[in-house]
Amino acid sequence: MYPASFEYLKPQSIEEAMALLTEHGEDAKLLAGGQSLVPMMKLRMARPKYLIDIHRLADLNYIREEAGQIRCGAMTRHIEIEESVLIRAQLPMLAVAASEIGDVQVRNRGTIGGGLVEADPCGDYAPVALAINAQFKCVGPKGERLIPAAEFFSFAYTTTLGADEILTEIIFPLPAQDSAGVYLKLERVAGDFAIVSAAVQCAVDKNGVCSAIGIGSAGGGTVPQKALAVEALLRGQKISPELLAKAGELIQVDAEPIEDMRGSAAYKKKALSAILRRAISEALRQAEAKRVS
Amino acid sequence: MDFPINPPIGERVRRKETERFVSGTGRYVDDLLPAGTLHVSFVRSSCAHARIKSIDVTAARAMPGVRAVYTGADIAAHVKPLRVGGSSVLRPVKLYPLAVDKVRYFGEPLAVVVADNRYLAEDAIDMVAVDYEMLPAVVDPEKAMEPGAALVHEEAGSNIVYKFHFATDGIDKVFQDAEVVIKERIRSHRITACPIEPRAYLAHYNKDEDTLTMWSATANPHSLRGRIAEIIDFPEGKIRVIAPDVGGSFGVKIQTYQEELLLPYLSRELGRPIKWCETRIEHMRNGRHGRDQIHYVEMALKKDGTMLGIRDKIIADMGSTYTVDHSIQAAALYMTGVYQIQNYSVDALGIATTKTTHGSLRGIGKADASYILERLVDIAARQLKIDPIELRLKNFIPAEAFPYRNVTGALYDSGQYHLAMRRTAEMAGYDRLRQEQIELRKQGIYRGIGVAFVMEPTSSSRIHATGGYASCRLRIDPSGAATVFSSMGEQGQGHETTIAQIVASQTGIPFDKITVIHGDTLPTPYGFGTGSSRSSVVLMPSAWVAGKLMRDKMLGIAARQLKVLPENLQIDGGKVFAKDHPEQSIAVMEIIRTAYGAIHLLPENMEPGLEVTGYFINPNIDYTPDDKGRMNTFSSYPYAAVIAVVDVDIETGMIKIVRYSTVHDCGNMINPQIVDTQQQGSIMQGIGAALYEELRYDEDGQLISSSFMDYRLPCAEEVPELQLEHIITPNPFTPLGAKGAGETGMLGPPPALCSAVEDALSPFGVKVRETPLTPDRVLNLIEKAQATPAHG
Ligand SMILES: Cc1cc2nc3c(=O)[nH]c(=O)nc-3n(C[C@H](O)[C@H](O)[C@H](O)COP(=O)(O)OP(=O)(O)OC[C@H]3O[C@@H](n4cnc5c(N)ncnc54)[C@H](O)[C@@H]3O)c2cc1C
Repeated sequence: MYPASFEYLKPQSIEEAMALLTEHGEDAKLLAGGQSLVPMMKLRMARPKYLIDIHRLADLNYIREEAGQIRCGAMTRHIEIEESVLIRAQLPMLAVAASEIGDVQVRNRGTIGGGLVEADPCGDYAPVALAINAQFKCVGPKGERLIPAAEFFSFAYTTTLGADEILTEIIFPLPAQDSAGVYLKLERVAGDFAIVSAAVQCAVDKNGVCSAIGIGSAGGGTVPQKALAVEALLRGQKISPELLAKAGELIQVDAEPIEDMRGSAAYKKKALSAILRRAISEALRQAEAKRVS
Repeated sequence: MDFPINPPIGERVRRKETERFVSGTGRYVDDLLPAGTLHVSFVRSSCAHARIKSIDVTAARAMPGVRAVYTGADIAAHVKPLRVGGSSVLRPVKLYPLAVDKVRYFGEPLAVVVADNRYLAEDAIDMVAVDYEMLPAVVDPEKAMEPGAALVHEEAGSNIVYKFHFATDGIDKVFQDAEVVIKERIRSHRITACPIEPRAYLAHYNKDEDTLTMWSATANPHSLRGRIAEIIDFPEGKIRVIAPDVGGSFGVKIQTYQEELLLPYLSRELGRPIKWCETRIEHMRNGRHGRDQIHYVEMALKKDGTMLGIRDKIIADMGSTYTVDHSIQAAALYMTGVYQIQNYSVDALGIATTKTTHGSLRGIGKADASYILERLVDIAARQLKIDPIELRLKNFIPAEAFPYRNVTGALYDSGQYHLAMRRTAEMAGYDRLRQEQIELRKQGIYRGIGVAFVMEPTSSSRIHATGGYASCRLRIDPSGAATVFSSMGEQGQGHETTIAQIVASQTGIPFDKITVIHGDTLPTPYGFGTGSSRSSVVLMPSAWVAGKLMRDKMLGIAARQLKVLPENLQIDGGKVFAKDHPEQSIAVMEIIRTAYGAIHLLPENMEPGLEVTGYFINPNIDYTPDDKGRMNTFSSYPYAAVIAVVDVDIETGMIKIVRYSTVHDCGNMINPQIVDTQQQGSIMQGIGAALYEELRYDEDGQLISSSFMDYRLPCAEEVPELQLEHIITPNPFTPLGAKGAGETGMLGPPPALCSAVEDALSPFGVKVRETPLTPDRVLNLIEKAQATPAHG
């Protein structure tokens, strides 16, 4: 609980933060809400020599709707996402995911950008980002680039973001008006990380056929997954109980969950299947309700 | 029986302590920082079991801000070893403040760095190089018993460090002849208490005065003082131990720890105040652990459900530096619980393993016993197809049999078990619940109704360990306010309030004018630690005795002045007056002034001043067993009936507690508000133990649940709908009629929730024998049951 010594740097702009990051390289870490990094420093599992605090950069804290997208600055806090009227109306499953992170103290400080870069195998944002194909905007010495969610998570606690890059914005394409999204999280006690979780965004047509579907899940392995095979299985189909059961089996096929105090690998596979099926059923129900209303 | 429980005894008086706790003005060890304080960090073993070949501290000594580095051997050369073991049966071993030639559990302290601040100390411990010769970890207590197993303490000659045997005549015959025998292996898993404040110590040796002050987050200041005096060979009278506000103990702060004894030595060596506040991870690894017993247990019954006898074999995992045996004895002596069972045998073994030391934890031993017994009763009920409430009602000790001598000699003071069980069933709507259960099953909802009846022996008295008495010194100050010096400290129990209620009731001094001083060895009378729910059984009566002595003295002074016999006098509204002639009165203030300043007006032979000490001795205690091994080591026997309702999600294994109904009997309540909150907190702790919390070791003896990320405590959202009622059967052996109130709550959830889950999953025919009921374990139970043909 006593971190090694470090130097605290407080840049006033993204450019200044970039310059500091370039200057100190491997010795530096960006500090967002500190809700993952600071505990690791206290355990001395992270020992950065320099902390570059970008938590309060106003340029990185916003939620806005633009051209059919919701754009969140990377330093937008969990609580702001949870309470955003815009997100609650347009992308409710994102607000739900944010609301289920840790406790209110964590949500008051932790940020969406920090949460995604931390890439905890059971973080709450990733399934949502994967389900609807969010994109992550980053800046680095060579300029800006966009990373699709499906290419972002490379291993547990590891992403494809360069050590010299800063995540600046998360771009969520807005799903069609008639589609519905559901985020379901299975947790031991309130405020814990997920054992498994699933995000499903889907639409149904008047024949009851699933016309569009996006699925993201966590807990099935070292990285959160976009469930492409399950999406393909269900897309364009009328979803019968048998098909749903098949989806539940399919999600387990490539799953290699991490064993820990939250459960054995065998258990997590079963739990993932159950949560996925429930999320799909509930999303379909909501989509159908939207269609008829 | 008539109890002198006049107001404010029995009232929901607001706690004196609450305001400072909720406003953040409490003062804990970590808030103290005398000038010149140095800070320490411990080098801790990175393995479970190894010989220490060498420790290289040269680099650490050269680190900035480092004042000293000591290894276990350095310390052992200058201090005496700790006394270990509270009884003759426990194999004695020598223990030093730091490991000397061997480490015996993951996290054991083996060297210490003293530095200008904690950060620098932590930097330096990283530089200490320890060379280990690895020895096999001893993790499984059953394997540890086998011949050839690696020995945790070579000098003990065996890992079986404790043995206890008890048997009634003809027990085997009872089992041979029984119509039904239920036989199970049931385990209570290892947990810890997690007080909100981990351990914290500050030792200050004052060179000019040649005195030592030790601030400790302890629940046992007087014993600690004695131990410090012993190990550093320093006059006890020059040591003052102060427990400031302490953020919870639940048993884990009642024992003395290795680090706790080292700090006074360091302070004396270095002539500076020395401070150490434990981190949470250190606490999980080094604070006392509890439970962790395996019982091979059998019950003999008649087909009609009459219980005839119990045979038990207990294998208790004591961890490495075992210090107490009463967890095992408490389990062994109370395995017949609340039932009329007069045939019983037990063989209990305490096993040393390379795990953290086992010790006191809310419900020690008794929680294991009641959990395992109640599991057995449920399993019997299911096998005999008798309703679990009916089976219990059939076998309970009846109200008219109290005081009841159980088979092991324990004397249960009082109880109305049938009434408590029936009232709980009524409150929970048991019959309706059974109907609903059938309906819900048709909808695919697995609802379970769990029943448990738990009894908690409280206020233990053991030779040299818990003393068996408590005292309060009471002074009415010349100003008319009163000060009470309590022999026992508090860590959240509300003694400052309840003692003041008792003294106010006896002396007429207003509650708000009474201050209670505790946890400081200088002003308070000698006493033992706060544990075993003994405060209401033995400490509060001592306050009552002090109050009575004071009252008698005040009335004696008044009697002489008013020329009325003391027994005809009454105290009320700041006056003492004759019951029959209220106009004949004298102000209490006048009596006080007389006692201090006009002693010529005192009755003959009365001492001046208003200062008395009240002692109370635990009633009905046997300090040694009789020729058949029977003894009573506890003074009061509170209990609770529980009905828990759960829904089990059979796809995810998740358990939701729909409602928890309980009727509790701790006799007369000094402050019902405090009893309620003790119950609520205690029940939540029991829910944590049943469903979420587990200290799990891997094969190499590493503790894998050593932070709150892995060791999950229930939080506010897990609190179920709670129905809590009390029935009052006063304890006839204490002047207040009170029984212990701190622990019974925690005993209920493990058996009640296991019972409920087993009931919910009865269509699959599952049997619960392992806890906690994690979702993983629940799904496994279902799968295993499905793999074997369902019974019944
Ligand atoms: C008690 C507790 C419970 C929690 N429960 C959950 C939970 O249930 N679900 C969940 O999802 N999370 C949970 N978390 C984690 C929480 O969401 C963190 O807030 C989050 O993981 C990290 O965000 P942060 O803003 O705090 O980042 P920090 O901790 O400051 O940083 C995390 C990492 O990201 C890097 N980083 C931060 N911002 C950027 C950026 N813009 N560009 C590049 N790198 C960056 C940092 O250098 C660091 O390596 C919990 C945390 C705690 C303490």
